[in-house]
Amino acid sequence: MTDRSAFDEFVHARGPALARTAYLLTGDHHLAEDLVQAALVQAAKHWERIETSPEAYVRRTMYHQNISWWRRRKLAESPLESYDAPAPAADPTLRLTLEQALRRLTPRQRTVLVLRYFEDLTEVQTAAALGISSGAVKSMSRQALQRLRVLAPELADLVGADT
Amino acid sequence: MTTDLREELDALARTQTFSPDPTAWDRGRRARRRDRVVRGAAVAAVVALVAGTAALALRPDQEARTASTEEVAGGAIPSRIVDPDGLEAEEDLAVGRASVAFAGSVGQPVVVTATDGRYHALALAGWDGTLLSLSPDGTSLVWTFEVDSGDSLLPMKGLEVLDLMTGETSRRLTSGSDGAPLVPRQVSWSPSGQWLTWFGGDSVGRMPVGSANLETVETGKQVEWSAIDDEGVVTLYAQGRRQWQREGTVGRMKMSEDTTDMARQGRNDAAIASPTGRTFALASTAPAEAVDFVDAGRFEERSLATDLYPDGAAVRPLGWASDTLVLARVDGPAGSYVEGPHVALFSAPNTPEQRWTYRIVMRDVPDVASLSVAVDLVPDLDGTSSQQLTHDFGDTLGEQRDISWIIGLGVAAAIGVLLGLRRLWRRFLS
Repeated sequence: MTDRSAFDEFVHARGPALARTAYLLTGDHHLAEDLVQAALVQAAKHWERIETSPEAYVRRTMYHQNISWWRRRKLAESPLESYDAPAPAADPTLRLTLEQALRRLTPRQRTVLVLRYFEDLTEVQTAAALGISSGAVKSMSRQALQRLRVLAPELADLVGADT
Repeated sequence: MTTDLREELDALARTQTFSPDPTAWDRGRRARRRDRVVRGAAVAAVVALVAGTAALALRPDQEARTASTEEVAGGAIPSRIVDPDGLEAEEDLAVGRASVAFAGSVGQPVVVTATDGRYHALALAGWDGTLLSLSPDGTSLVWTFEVDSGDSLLPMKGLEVLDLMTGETSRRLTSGSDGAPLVPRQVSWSPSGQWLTWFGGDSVGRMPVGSANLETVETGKQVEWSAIDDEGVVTLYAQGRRQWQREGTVGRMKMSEDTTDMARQGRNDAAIASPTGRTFALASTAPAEAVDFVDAGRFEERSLATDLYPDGAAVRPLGWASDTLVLARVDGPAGSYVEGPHVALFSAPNTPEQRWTYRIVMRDVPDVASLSVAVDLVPDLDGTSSQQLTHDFGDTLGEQRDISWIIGLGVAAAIGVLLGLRRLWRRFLS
């Protein structure tokens, strides 16, 4: 199998899952697509080195790029309501409320939340993936949940009570 | 809590669709190739910079090199002359005032500009490779040319004068008594640089610089030297001294009482008139114990110091620095205090012997042909032996070579830096 066909096969097989993670990381469909494509370009660039475990590389690239200062600046350009104001309760479903609340987390908080509660990584694995300490992961995770409760009190059942 | 949250996050994530970008692979591979180029360029730039820095730091003449960066207002004679291995010929002849001119050993006409000491190989049209002479003020250059005439079997020969300030040239054809084209054997400037005289065979010519007039006179005898004063009067030697007046008459000069003119035959082959027009410094054809002059109608000998030149020296005047001081190229034979070609400034016999001076101006002059110096750049002597008569421009020739090298390094480094910045920029954008 050539490198190109192996890459294509990987993209075909794992692309949708990567896109789902990217969406949670960015909170925006277009940015998610952009994030996945950028990570795949990086994977193609280093394919010879990563072809044994390309997904780990692509995911790590997405995590890092999502919290890079440049991407953070891009996100900052999108209109935001007042930072700590509760999300309007008019949203009919819990999912939409969660979606809006996630968008109001910082990229780091959102990334930690996604890794811990969507990717099911442990604190140690999350810390290793993001290149930060376990303590920082724990702290950010707690802050992220706390903000979700503040931003969307109706998510209390979902994210648990404040401790 | 976590299970519910995970389920909700999963449901939320499933709203994202995925459409693979078919160009991702190609973009990645292009980026890979680009990175390799950047890395290569960066390595080359670093190596070049390190090598360049080391080379500059290890140069033995660092002090001289830095001295060369300055310019001397009005110009100066360089403290040393180097025969360049081969310079790129310059088509733009307006290089400015020159201090030195010579025919380089590789066959290039070379001038050294007066203010910065830089060397210029000029693309002189038709230069026959023999004669080249700089005017006393360094603003004009004359050379002998020989070019095909096109409609005649005989080539055109003559003199071409270049204004180094404007780059303009004017060409004058020269011919002998039989009317055939003749290459001048020697030229001599008047002290002000307003006149030129030349000779070849039995013909002597003169022309005002910047004018189309060129007069030629036949002497019927072999001419051995000619010089011209600021009035345009030519003094020449053709089996005896003669003067060619402005109105056109040529007459023998009065014989000196103690020297017969015939005894001087073959002894001198060039001459330069002093600013007063009364004294002429003569070039010797062979090493001699004295420098020959004609002063007030008499042949005079200015003895060379025997402690400097025990076996005499061959002296070729380059011009008059003042009414009484001659700048000359001196070739000291082996055993001399200063051996080989050098440039000296010394008193002429038109000044009392007790006031004579002799200064070595430039040592180790390369043995180049047609050396001429802008004598007006010699400063007036202040009477002290410590006075600097020349200026150390440093190794301008080496610097001229180095500049292209350093420019190359700089360009390579700049490209490396730019590629690196571009790479960083693209990385941030991705």
